[in-house]
Amino acid sequence: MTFDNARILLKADAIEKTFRGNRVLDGISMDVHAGEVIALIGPSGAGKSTFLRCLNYLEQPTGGSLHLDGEPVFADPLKPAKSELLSLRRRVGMVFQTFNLFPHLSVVENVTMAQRLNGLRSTSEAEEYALKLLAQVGVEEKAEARPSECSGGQQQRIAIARALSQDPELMLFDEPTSALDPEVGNDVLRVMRDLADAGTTMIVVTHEMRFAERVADRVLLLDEGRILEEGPPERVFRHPEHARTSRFLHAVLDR
Amino acid sequence: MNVEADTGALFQVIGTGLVVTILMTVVSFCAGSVLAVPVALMRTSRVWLVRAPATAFIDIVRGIPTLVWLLIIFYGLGSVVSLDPLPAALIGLTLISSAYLAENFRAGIENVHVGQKEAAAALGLSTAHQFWRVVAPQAVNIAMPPSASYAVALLKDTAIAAIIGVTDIIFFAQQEVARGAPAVTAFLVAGAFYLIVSVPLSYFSRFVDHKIRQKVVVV
Repeated sequence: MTFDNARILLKADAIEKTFRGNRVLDGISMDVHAGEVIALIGPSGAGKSTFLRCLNYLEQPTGGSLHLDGEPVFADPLKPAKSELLSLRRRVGMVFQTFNLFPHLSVVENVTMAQRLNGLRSTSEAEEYALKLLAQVGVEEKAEARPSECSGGQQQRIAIARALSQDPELMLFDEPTSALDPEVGNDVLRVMRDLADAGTTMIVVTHEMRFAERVADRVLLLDEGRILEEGPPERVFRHPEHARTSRFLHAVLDR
Repeated sequence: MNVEADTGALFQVIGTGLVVTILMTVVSFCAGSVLAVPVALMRTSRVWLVRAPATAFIDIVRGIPTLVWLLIIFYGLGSVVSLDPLPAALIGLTLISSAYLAENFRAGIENVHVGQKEAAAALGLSTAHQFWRVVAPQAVNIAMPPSASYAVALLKDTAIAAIIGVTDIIFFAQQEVARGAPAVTAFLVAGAFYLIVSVPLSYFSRFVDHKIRQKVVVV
C-alpha cells in the first residue's frame, strides 16, 4: 500500500521533550497518512513511549507542534487549553502496556463509560456498541465480569475495545504485548492486525519485530530521541542504512 | 448480698448509656467522613496555598488529645454560646474523625495507580470525571479498611466524653461507682458493652478488607 496521495491525518512537527534538563526527544517530525500503520521500534530509552505519549499530550512536549487533518491541535502547543486537550484525546485512542482497565467497573462499563460521559452516545446505544466491540475483540462472554476475572490477553483486548469506543481517528499502542505471555500476546496482535486490515490508522510502539514486518506500512527506528532510520519494513529490516540499526535488529532478533 | 442481682442491675443502668455511645460514634464518623472529603482534596492539591491549611488542620487536630479537645470546646465554645455536653462532644469527635479520615482518603487517592488517571485522561474524560468516576471510587475502596478500623478507635475514644458530662456508658458506670457499686464490676460491665459493639465492628472491617482485596487488583 502506498500513501503518497492519502491525506495526512497527523503531522508531528519537531516534537521535543526535556525532563529536568535531560533531552528525551530531540525534535521528531512525522507525517501519518490516513489508514497507515506505523511501527515505532528502537532500544529502550530511545524515547518511543515518550514520543507516543506526546501525541495525545499525556506528556506535554517542551517544543514542536501537532496537526490533525491539517489543523493545528493547539493554538499554543506550550499552553494547551482544556477544550483542545479533550478534543485531541477524543480523536486519538490509546492502549497501554499495563492495560489500565478500571477495576471498579465491569468489563462492559469500562467500554461504555467514556461514551456516556463524553456525550457520544446514549446509555443504551453505548451498551449496544460496547457489546459489538467486545465481540469484535473476542471477549463478549466477559462483558459482565470484572477486569480482575479476565486473563491478561483478554484485558488488553478489552482495553482496545475501550479505546475504540470513542471512534478514534488514530490509535496509539504503547508496547501492547510486552506484559503478556507470547501465546496470549498473539491474540492481541491478531486483533490489531484485523484493525489494520480494516483501515485503522495506527502507531504502535513495539518489540514484536515480526508484527512490525508483517503489519506495518512504515517502520521508524528511534534512537536517543531521534529518528535514526525510517522506511517500509522490508527495507529497514533487510537493508538498513545505519550500522546502529543492524546492531539493534541483531540484538532483538537473536533473543 | 446478692451479687448476681447487683450485676444484673448494673448491666441495666450502664446499658442505658449504650445508645449515646453508639450515637456519638455513628454521628461523628458520618459527619467526619463528609468533612474529610474537602480536607483530603485540599491536602492532595498541587497548589501549596490550598494544601497548607489542610495539612495544618490535620496536624493540629490530631496533635492534641481528644480529652483536651473536648474540654476546649465544652468550656471555650460553651462560654460563647450555650452548649450542652452532647453537642460539644459531637463537634469535637467530628472534627477529630474528619482529620483522621482525611488522611485515610488522601492515602487512598495517592495509592490509586497513576495509569488509572492516564487511561481516563486518554479517553478524553474531563478532569472532574477523571477524578470522580475513576480515581475517587478506587480511593474509597483503598481507604475503607483503615477507616473501618478507625471506627473502632473512635468508638473507644467516645468514652472520654463522660468527662464533660455526656451520659454515655462510662458516665453511668461512674455514677454507679459513686453510689457504692464495686468499681471493678462496674467498669467490667462498661467494658463488656464496648465489646458488644467493637467486636462486630472489627469483624465487619476485616470482612470489608477481604472483600475489597478480592475486588480491586492493583496492577
